[in-house]
Amino acid sequence: MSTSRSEPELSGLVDDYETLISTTDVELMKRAWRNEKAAPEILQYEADLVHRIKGQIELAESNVEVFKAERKDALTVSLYEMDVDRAHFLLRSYLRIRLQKIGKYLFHILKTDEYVNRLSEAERAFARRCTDDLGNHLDETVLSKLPDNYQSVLKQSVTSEEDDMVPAPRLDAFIICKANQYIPGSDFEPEYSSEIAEMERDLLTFICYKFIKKPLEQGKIDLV
Amino acid sequence: MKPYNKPYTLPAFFSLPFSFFFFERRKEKTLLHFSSFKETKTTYVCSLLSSGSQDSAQQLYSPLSLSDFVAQVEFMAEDETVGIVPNLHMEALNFICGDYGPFYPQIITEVPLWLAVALRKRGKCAVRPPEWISVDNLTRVLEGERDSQAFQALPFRYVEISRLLFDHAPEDIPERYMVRSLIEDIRDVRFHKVQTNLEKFTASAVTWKNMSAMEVNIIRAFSGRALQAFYMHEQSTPDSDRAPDTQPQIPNNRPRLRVTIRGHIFFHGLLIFAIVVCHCATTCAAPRWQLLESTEFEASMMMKW
Repeated sequence: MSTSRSEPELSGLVDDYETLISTTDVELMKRAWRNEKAAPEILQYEADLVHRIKGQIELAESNVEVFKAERKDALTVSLYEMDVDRAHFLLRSYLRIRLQKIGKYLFHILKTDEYVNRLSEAERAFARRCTDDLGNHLDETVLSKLPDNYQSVLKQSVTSEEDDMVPAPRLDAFIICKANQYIPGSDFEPEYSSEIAEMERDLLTFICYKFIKKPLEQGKIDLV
Repeated sequence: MKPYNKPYTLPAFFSLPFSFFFFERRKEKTLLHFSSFKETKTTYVCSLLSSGSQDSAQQLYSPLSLSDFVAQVEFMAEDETVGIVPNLHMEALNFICGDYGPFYPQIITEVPLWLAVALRKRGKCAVRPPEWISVDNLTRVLEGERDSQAFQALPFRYVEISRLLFDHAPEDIPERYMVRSLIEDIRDVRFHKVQTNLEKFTASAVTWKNMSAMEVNIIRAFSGRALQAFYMHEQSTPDSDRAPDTQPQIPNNRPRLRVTIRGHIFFHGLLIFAIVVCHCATTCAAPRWQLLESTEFEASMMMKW
C-alpha cells in the first residue's frame, strides 16, 4: 500500500522539480500577472518572486551598461534592452493592477485581516494613506454637512447593522480558467461539490470564481 | 534600477495598426470594430463588449485604453516560441526570460516570437513557420471546423501568432496567400461557432475545448456577465416575482434581476438574457443599455418572445 502510494507521489515530485527548474521567474511572473488580472479579488502578493525579478532586472541593466561601455555590437545590446523592457513591463503591469484593485476595494481590504496580509508593506502603506485621504476628503466635502446619523463613510446611516457602503469584490463573478493538472473533486471546497466534480487538465472553463478559489491558491489552476 | 516613468512602448515596427481580425482591412478604425460581420447578433454582442462592463473581474480588462489592450495581447503572444534560421553568428543570449542561442548560420534555433521578429526586421534570420501553418494542415482544420461543432486543435494564440508572422515575415511563409486566406476562413468559421455556442450556456460551468485566446477575449465580458446572471437566477427563489431593482449603481451582493424560471436550468441563454437586458433598458435607462434600444436584434427578439 505504502509503495503503491509513494510512486505517484514520487513521480509527481520529479515532475514538480522538472517544471521548477525549467520555469523561469519571468514565466512565474507572467502567471501571477495573468491571475491577478483576471481574479476579482486581490491575490497574495508574490514577494519573493517580485524581489527576484527586481534583482534580475537590475543585473540585466548593469550588463547592458557594461556592453555599451565595451562597445559590443549594437544588435546584441538592443536585444538585451528589449528583454529588460519586457521584464519591466510585466513587473509594472502586475504592480499597477494590484494598486488599481486596492484603490477600488480600499475599505473592504483594510477591514479584513486576510486581505491585509496579502498586501506588501508598500501596498499596505499606500492603502492606509489612501483611506485617510479619501476619508478626510469625503468628510470635508460632504459627510460633515449631513445630519449626524449619516456621517459614516462606511455605513448608509447609523441604523445599518453592517458596513453597507463598502464595495466588495464579487466572488461570484465568472472567470475563465484552465487547470494545469487534473483536479479531483476533493480539491474543491466541499460546499461547492454539487456544482463542480472535477476538472480536466488544459480544458478551458468558464466558472464562478469562488468555486476554484482553493485550487487557484494552491497553484493548480491558471486564470486566462 | 533606472527609473522608468514612461509606459512600455513597443518598438516602432510594432506600432502598425492593430487588427487581428481583419488582415485585409487594416485601415478599419478600431480593434473591436466588427462592422463586417453581417449578423446583427454580433453587433449586439460587440456593442456590449466595447461599451465596457461594471463587473469587477472584467473591469481590469475593459477600461484599458485600446493601446494598452493591444500591448498586452501582443505581449502575451510574443512569448510563444518559433524556429528561426539565423544567417549570422552570434553568442548565446542570456536573457531574464531564458537563455537562447548560440546562433550559427543555417542552424535552426528556437526563440520567442519577439526575438524572431526583431532579428527578422534587421534581416538577420529567416523565420521557420510553425508546422501547423501549412496548406495541408490548415485545409484539414478548416474542413474539420465546418463539419463538426467542436473546435479543432490549433495553438491557443493562433490568431496573434499568424498575425505577427504575416506582418513581419510574410516572405518566409510558403504559399502565403493561400495560407492567409485559409487562416481567415478558419477564424471566421470559429468566431461564428463561438456566437452560436453562446446559446448553449448552462448555469454553473461551461467548458470549451481548444478555444483560442482571441475567441475568449471576444466573449469574455459578455458571457461572464451572462453566466453571472444565470447563476443569480439559480440561487434566487423561483417563486419571488419582485420587480427588478432599478438602481444598479449601489454595490450590493443580492441579485437584482429576478425571472421566474420553471423547470430545470437549461436556458436558451442569449434569448433570456436579451429579454432581461431589454427590460432593463426600458426601466433603468442607464446609458449603457440605451445602446441596445435601436438594434434590430432587440426587435427581432421581442417578436420571438
